[in-house]
Amino acid sequence: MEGARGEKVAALIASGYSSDFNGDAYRTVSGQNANNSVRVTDRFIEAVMKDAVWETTTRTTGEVVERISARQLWREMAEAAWKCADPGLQFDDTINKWHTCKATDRIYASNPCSEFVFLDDTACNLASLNLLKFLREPTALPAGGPKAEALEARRGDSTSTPTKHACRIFFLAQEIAVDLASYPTQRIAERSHQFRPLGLGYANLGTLLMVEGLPYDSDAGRARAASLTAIMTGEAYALSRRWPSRRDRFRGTRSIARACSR
Amino acid sequence: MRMHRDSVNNIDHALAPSELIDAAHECWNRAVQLGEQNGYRNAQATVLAPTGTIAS
Repeated sequence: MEGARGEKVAALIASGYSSDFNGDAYRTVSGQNANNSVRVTDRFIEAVMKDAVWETTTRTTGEVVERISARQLWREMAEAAWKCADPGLQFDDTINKWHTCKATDRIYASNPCSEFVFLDDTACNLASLNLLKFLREPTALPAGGPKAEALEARRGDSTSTPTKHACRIFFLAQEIAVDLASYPTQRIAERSHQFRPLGLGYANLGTLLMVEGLPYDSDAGRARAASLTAIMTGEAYALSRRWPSRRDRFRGTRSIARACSR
Repeated sequence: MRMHRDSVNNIDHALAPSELIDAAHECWNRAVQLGEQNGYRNAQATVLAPTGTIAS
């Protein structure tokens, strides 16, 4: 919900409306069935860091509309997100740097939650593995509350990572589902078959880190997440190439294949 | 794909179990090597949806 509307909800609640999420205060305010995100470039982030002036421009002619402090704009976006969870942020240069199909087109948009970041008019189905199901040790903590030594001892032997086998099974099932799914438009259907994008993933990372005694916002927590994410994605791509015949690869051109190897 | 593989090098060995980092190197090396021979069937493979959006 955008800032002004969030403030309107707050005003309605203050004047006696129910603060229930299904109550009248929220019902009377429009635009809640959407997520709004802002795409920022490296150039904008550099302007924020240098406390430089930022120019907003028209989409059609590129004409300068406003000259404002990048840092102030950044602050306003952060405060709005803190108040009402909008806007989300997408890092345009980073997204297009790590894009696997640069030769086809750039990436302009995402789905509303922003996890599927790919070419226009493509869709993918999702499957999330629950990380806690892969814990090797029972998750019960010692009676009397977690002791530091117990957590330390646990850290070494309970590394919960979806097995490569589990990644392969789910990825294969999703691959089959590409041809069984229905798509909202013909173009999305065509391109989803052509590029066959898939969305294997995981859930419950926060719980896993807590069980393993790793702080959520820590370098160790991030290293843990990076390792298991790398395993899941690497194993998926290794399987993606395994389907035997040449004609089975996604029907990109040679230039796509070359760009992919970059 | 090589860029994605090479970023496994950025994981600090002091901060994550070695067996996990080794496993990550192993499957990414395999993915790139096999892909260079035959291409990939899928142009994109994994996503991380917000946990709250996933029905259990």
